[in-house]
Amino acid sequence: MRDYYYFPKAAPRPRAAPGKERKKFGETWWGRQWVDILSKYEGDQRMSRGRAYARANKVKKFKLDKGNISASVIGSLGTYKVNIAFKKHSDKNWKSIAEAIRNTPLLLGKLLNNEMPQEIEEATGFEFIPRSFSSDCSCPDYANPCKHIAAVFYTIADEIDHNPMSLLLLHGMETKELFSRLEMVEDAPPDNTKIADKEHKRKARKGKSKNVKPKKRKNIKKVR
Amino acid sequence: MDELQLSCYNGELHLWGVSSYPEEQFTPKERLNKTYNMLFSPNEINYLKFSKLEIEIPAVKNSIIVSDELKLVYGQYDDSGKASIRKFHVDCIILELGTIMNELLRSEKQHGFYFGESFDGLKSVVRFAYSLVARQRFMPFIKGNKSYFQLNLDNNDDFLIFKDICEALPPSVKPRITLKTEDAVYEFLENLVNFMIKELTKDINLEFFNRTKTDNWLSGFFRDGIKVDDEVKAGVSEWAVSRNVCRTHEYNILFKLEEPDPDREQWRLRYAVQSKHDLSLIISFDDIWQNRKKINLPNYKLHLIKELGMAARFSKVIEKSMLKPNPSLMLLSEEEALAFMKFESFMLKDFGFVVHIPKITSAKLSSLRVILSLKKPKTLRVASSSGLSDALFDFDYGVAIGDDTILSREEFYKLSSLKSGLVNVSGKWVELNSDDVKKVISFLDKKKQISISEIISTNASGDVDFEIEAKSFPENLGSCFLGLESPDLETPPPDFCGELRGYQRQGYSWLIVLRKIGFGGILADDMGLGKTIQAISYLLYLKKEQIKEPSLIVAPTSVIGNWEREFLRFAPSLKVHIYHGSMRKKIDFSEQIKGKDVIITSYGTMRNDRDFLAGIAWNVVILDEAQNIKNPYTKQAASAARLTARHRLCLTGTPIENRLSELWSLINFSNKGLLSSWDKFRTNFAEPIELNSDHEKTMRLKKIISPFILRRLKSDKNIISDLPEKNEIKEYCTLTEEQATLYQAIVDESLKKIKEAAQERRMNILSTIIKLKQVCNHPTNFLKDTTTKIAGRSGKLERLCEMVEVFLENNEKCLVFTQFREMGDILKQALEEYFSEQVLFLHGQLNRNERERMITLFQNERAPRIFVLSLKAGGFGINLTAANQVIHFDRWWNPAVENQATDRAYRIGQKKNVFIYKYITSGTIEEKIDEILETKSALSDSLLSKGEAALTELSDGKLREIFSLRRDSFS
Repeated sequence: MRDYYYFPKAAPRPRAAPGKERKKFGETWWGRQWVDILSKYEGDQRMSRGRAYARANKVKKFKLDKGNISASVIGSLGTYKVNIAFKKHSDKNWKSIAEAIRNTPLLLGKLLNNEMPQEIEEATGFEFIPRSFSSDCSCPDYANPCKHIAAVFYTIADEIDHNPMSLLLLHGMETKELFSRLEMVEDAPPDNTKIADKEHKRKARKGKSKNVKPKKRKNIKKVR
Repeated sequence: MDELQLSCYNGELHLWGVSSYPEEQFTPKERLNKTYNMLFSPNEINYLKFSKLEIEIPAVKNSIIVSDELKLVYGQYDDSGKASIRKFHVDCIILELGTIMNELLRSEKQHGFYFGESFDGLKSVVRFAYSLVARQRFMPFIKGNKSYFQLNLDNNDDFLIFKDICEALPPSVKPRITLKTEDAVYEFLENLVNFMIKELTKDINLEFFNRTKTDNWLSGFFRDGIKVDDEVKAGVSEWAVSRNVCRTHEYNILFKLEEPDPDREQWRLRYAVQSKHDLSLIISFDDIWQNRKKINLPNYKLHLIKELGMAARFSKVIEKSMLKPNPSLMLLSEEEALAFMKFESFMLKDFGFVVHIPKITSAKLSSLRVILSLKKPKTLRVASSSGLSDALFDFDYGVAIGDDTILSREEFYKLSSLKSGLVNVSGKWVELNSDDVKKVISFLDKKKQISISEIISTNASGDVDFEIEAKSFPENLGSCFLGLESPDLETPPPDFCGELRGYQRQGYSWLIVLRKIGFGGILADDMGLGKTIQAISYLLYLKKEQIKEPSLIVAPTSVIGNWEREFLRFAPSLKVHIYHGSMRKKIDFSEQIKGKDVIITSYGTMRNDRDFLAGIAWNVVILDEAQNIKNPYTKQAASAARLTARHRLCLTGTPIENRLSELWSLINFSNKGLLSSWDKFRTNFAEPIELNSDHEKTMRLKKIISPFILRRLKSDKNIISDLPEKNEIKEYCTLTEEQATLYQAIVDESLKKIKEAAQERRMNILSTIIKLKQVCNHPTNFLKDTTTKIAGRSGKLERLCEMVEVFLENNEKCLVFTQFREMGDILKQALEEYFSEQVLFLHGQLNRNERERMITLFQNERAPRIFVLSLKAGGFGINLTAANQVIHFDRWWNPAVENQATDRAYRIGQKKNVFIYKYITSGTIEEKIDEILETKSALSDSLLSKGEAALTELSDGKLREIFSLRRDSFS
């Protein structure tokens, strides 16, 4: 049972067989952007080791929260805890983001289709590809990023490739919540559209009609 | 007669039949099995899945209400009374999906059954499945715990096709009357599509799908027996929703592209919502954004934006429009409009959007016609052997787009340099791909000269996607080509003994024109219109043209005698040699045929002596009853193709246009190369036409072949005005080895008896005549060995089956008269066996009621179509005008009696021309008596007045002459 505007989870994708095709990180434009951001660490051996870790599925218990990611990485000497904190947008900022999304059908339309619209940063004026974050690992390596953090970085790339809505979560917003803020959820009109039309006109004359809290309803999309 | 039905149940097809036999309602298991083997490649009985289908059908009391078609054919159905839905247990065969996929579409109607509505309807379902698979209209999903493709009917065209197919299906297509047809068919369609994909991907390597649970799911689409993990199942369900495909909303999003009008310069794209069930219910996005209208969907505005967001993936224009609030109308530049029409609209359609584009704007390469005007070069040489077809012409060309806009060569060149392919040709928007334009130009610029046969074969080969047409010819040649459609009437040579009717002269002239321009042809006139005469007059014409090589006629054994006689009658000046039978000699063949004009042989001999016959340069090769080479893969067809000749003709009375393999085979014989190879032809024409009923291809094929096929129908008014209403034709048959042996034995024995016993002479002679006639009919008629097999033992019966087959193909009814009661029984049994349909037999032992019933049945219903009558019982009084083909299987020798029988059909109320075939066995007493009658001697007078008894007065020597068998006359 989901709301109509529910944002679905990532699609399971076939993984390349060993030796056949190397897994790519950054298949979508937003995933690529994230990988580009990581390129500031380029040249560091730990990054490529981390990428190999990520490819070998050594990142476990990968968990996304508002503005935070935690994971366990199986290292050569044991399992280490990695934590990465992201900068969240303030509540006020989210309000203005919601406003921008509501006024730009392209943003809304793409988000509804589980895509991160390319125009989103420009149109809202806020960042959606995380650029500022701090990371921490329980391993003895003092360098940051260590290879475990690097492995989580690449796992993030994989995660957002498949589920772009986690970019919202990293900036402190649940997709569901964002949508309730859009205030676009309406009731279906009663069958008699004429009456509905009249009523609507009346409401429109009075001024903006207040939207009702969305009711949970059955998912109308039936899968045969 | 059975009416075959198919029902969808549990995603499988069940084959069953409604029987026309009064004692049974449904086709019993045995006959169903037999029918199955006629329809599909034989399957060992153990592997056939027999079953009992419990099906609900409307019925009155205990008898089901049958289809109108069945009611029309048989009279016994009475469905007056209160109808109710009743449950029946019906024998059925569950068709294998492999059989459905590979063979169902090719199944042809044969004698003994025809296809009910559900059968034809489900053929469309299979066609649709092919189409879905070819366009990949399916989405990976899950059913139970197996991988399963879900159909994707998002494209509204698909949705509408599916709806139409289901609406056309009868209620019996699903076992429960309460089930929805859509659901039953959908289940089967989905099952079939999944099977097809598995079949088509049998050979792919799945090694790389071997790591994860997801891989497991994916490989399950191509192999059986793979279980899907629960975790993956949950993921797949969510993913399916996220893809937003396979939607089942009540509404479609409609994008309508409007062309610029005089007021506004730009193209406009309008957004609207269209109801799936009432296509006229359209609400514009503008009305929705302005809250003037609503649609009955929860969160409909959000829904529309989501849909638009998806459309934006495929269309730059739509994406652009969404940058501003409330998108509902977009102005497009010409490039954008073109991109939208050419690419984006197709993607959008596939993802479930409805797109309306102005119709006039789509011009495909295949709709281009290149019109050549041929010019005679200075050095035109027409080789006498090949005629005009291979002569090379200079040419100029123009290009026709659409119906009748013709661009000159220069204008067309100009188009090729334009960047935008959207051109306004005389007020209409036409989109031309500059690559297409270049293709046409490069094809024609390469050529300096072209021959007619090249034009035709290029069109048929599929090597070019456009059509080439020769419109104007150099003056003196044009008349030749136009001559194919309405040839100048030629007069047959003076030594043609007989007269050609108007249409026969036309056919004769047509054959001459064909020869002049160097093409072979197929003379496909209806039976009885005189194809033989037309061919004979043509051969006589060639003799006048001083051509030395002999011509070859290949005919079924049963009609060889007929040919020989027709030659004698109409063209005695032609020297005819029969090369057939075990007596033929291959040595000194050239000696044998020296000075001969025509050699007649049988298909069997042609096949056996193919190496030898192919080595001879023939003048004309004529295949009579050319349907004998209908299967292109047989040795027979291959041997025929190997014969070398200046001119090749086919004669056939069956409608050939409907069976494309037969058509190809006949054309390939008469005009080799015209339709390219069978494989090419199959992919280019046969499959599109037979599987998809491709109208465009059908018309194109028709255009290519129609000059080379001449087919006149008896029902054609122009022909009828030319024909007497009654046509008597003597049909000469042969004896089988068994018949000949019996015949000889009877003759030897009775001649001895007649000599010895003078007092019983009269009786002996009469009984001998009867015995001989019986043997000519069928050995069983004489031996009374009713338990042994019947088929293949009588030349007459073979010929009868051949002829009746053609009648039935043309939907004509026939009467068969015999004077022997026993022979009637044999005929009834043999014909019923051969055609698997009911044959009526009227004879003296039947009471009046039974006779009346048969006559009304035959007169008023579509079947039975074959009526056997004993001459004495059925020879007078009754009215059988439903038949227009009359066969006298044996002779009474008295024209008055025979005519009286014939007049059952030839009387007031007869709407068609009547054809009367009198069977005469060559070399036997039948032929001799016929010859005597023709001579108008004293004997013939006495024969007419006294009948066979007249023969008793003849001397022993004379009798011996009449009785004895001419040995060369059996096969």
